[in-house]
Amino acid sequence: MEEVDHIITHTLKQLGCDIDDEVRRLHDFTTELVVEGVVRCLQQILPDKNLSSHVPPSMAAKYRLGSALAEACTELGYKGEIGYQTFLYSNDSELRKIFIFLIEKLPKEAEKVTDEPLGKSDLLNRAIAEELSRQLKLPWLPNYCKPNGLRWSSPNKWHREGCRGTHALHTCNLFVPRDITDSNSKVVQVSHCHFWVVTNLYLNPLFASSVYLDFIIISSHHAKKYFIIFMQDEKNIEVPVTGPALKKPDTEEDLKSRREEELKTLQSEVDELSRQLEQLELQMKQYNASLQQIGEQILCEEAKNKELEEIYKLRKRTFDLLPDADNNLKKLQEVVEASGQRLVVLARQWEKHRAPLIEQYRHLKELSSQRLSETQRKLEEIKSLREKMKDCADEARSKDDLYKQLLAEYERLTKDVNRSAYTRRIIEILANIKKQREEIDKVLIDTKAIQKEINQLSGKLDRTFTVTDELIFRDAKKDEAVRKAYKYLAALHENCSSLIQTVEETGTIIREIRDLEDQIEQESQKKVADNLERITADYKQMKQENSSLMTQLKA
Amino acid sequence: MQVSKEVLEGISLLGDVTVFQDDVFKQLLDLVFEEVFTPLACSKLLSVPVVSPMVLKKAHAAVVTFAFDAAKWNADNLSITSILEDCKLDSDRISNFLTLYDKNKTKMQSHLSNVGSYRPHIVDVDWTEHYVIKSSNLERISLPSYIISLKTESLGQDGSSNSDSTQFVCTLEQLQDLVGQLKDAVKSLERISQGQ
Amino acid sequence: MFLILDEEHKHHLNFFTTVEPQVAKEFCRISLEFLQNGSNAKVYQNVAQKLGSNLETVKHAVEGLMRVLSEACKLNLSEMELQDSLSILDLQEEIKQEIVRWYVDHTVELRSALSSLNMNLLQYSSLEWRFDVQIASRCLRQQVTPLIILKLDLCKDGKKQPVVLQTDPCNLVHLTETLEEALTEVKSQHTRRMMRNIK
Repeated sequence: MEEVDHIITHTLKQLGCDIDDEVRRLHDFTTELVVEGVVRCLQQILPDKNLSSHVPPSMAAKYRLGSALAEACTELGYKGEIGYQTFLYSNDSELRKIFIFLIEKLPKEAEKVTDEPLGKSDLLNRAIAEELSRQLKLPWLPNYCKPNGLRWSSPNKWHREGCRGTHALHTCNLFVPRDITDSNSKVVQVSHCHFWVVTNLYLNPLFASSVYLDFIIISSHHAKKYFIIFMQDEKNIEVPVTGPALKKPDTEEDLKSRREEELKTLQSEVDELSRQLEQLELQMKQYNASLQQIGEQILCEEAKNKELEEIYKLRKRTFDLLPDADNNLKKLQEVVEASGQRLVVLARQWEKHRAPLIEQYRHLKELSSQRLSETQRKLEEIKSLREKMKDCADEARSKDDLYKQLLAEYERLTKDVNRSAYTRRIIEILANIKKQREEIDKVLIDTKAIQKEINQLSGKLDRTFTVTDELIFRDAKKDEAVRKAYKYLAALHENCSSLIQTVEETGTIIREIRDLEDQIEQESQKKVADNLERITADYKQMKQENSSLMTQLKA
Repeated sequence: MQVSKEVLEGISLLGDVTVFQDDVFKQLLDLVFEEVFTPLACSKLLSVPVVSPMVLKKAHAAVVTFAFDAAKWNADNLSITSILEDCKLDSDRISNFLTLYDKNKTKMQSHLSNVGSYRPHIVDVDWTEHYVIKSSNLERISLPSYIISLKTESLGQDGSSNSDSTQFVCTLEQLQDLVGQLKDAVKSLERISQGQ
Repeated sequence: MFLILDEEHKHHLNFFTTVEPQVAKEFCRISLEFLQNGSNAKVYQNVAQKLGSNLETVKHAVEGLMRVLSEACKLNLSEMELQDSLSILDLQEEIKQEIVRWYVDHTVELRSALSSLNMNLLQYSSLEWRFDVQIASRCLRQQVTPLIILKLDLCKDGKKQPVVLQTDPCNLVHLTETLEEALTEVKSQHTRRMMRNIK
């Protein structure tokens, strides 16, 4: 019962009742506490019900409050006996019953569904809270312990606690060669792509390094110049080419002007050279043009020459054949015929070769097209797979986040010790009940066995009695003593059965007595007499109040 | 995270095994991440054996830009991998890049956080308590008074940061007001930190 | 302690020996106004016209009265001490009482006005704060940097000078704790002993 009381007080505390830690049992509950607890429960169950949780001093009001509570309970379906006195003159077992009933009726707290992924703002809030609590937990450090105003709480975790080392954004253009995919290509174009570069990082010296500074490539292919010039923040220019032995210029101005001068002279030199180069180029172009012309003329002449030679040869042959004209004509015709025949043969042969080749060609073509389509299909498959992979990864990430969130939430949740205690207790009770049931079963089996034995014995007795009865009855006609014995037997039998009956009756009576005793105990627990006295006292008080009110009214 | 075409081109060069052999690639990568924290590390670039200095330059600039951009966006390994895969880098090279990136990410981010404008930042406070007895205008004052000096760090006009302090006087009541306000602030911070 | 009045001052104050207590009360009011808002020639003219006396005399009387009040405040005279100091003048008892009453009523006000004259340093006036979280910057797109922005209103010669500062949670806690220490210092044994002894 103590466990039940504990659960009841715990629940009432959760509902906002002001219960001292010392109050552990319902027995210790005051009337105010009882009323407050019941009212809180009813308010939870029926939020629109308006009940005051204070016990009024006036008897009539008390009565009204008590009966209102009782009415509400019966409306909810409470089966037991209930009246205003139940609350005002508390009785442990009744109260326990009522509270258990009410607590069972309490609406189950709508469990917040947290498995939905949290929104961005929630995530942000969470991140802020986390960061804040992390920072608040850290002890204070003087600023000279924090390089660049950054605080490293672990090798991989930092946050800002100061402004040292901060600076505005500086950018500069990087000039980077473009279109050099073929590194042997003769043409190099220079373009400037914009790389935002955060200066004042250690990156800066990179651009001052000798790799890029004064890194001017002049390639004279096709008589064109290409420059790859690296520009950079003027402030940070050092000229490594001049070597570290060179003393640094005194002032920046000096350096700047000197550099400008140098640049100017170089520029003019470059200009001069380019001008010369252009002139030379022009001349060369002219020469080239005239060379080409002359070459063409020569070719022309040669072709003419060949043509003339051909004509000469033909004419010479005809001239040679002319003397034996007929003969030669015949020969010529034969030759023509023979060559015609050969041509046909050749054509047939060609056909023979061509057909399989064409076949093969077609076959191969088909194959290649098949292969092509397959590759395309595979490519598409790969693409879709990659897409899927990305989706999966995204999902995994979001799930991971969710998991982390839930974990954090779980950790943050106050561990309800009560809950586990309850479950443990419930399991224990269940085990107990199981044990009890086993015992009951055992007792039942025992009882049954005994019953069986009794039945057997009574059967045996009956049989023995009939046998004896017959035996003696037969002899009784002959012998006087036996007749007496028979009489005795009958009397014995009768007496014994009456004895057994009496024992059975005693048993039932004892059982009845026990029942009645239980009932008496229950009734006495209810303190009916007390309650009656109290109620009559209340009735008298109310009457008194009424009469006083009446007199007031009259007066 | 978006990467410009030039950078992608530069990274694609790195994926070309004929241009960058494995050891050359590793050397370049080490240099890229080393020079973030060590000045003049890149002078070693000269010793990288490569087909042409132009290729080296382009690839180098692209990797540096890419690494810092990734740190800027706090990119995760997955998105980096997909970009590098698109540039035809093989998985060995990608994992090489990722290990170095992971190792140096927070450091790079801490460098990046240095860029920006901030108000003067309070880093410490000094106070003195005075008991004022009399002044030119008033005899017998007999009140406590405080001089409070807030030590701040701020961004100077020329872009360099310097230390500074804000000094002011306050009476006992004013100090009570000040402390009350500050306590209020601390309390609300604590509330926020508990996620309420 | 007494007020030492020089001859000229006495002469100026002699004006009060000739007027009604009602007028003296009015003069007290005017002199207080003078302390609060500066001189107002128009008021003098009005008063002079009403009393049918010289503008110069009225002005001197007001200034003289004002000096009495401010000097008394400076020395933090008690009621009795002021009464005794004024008894050198041949004033009506009622007028004297009036002046003393005015003095008693406005000592706190006058003293605070006088003490604020004293500050050539910046004086704290009020503090406003705000909690910011920097969640991205140009060079770092994902960050959570909590910052507390503090706007200190500082006063100098009655003019407000706002100073905007920022700090991080850790430093804020430190700042609060340190200033709280300063605050509790007032209640410390040492400070209390010093205060008791100097009084």
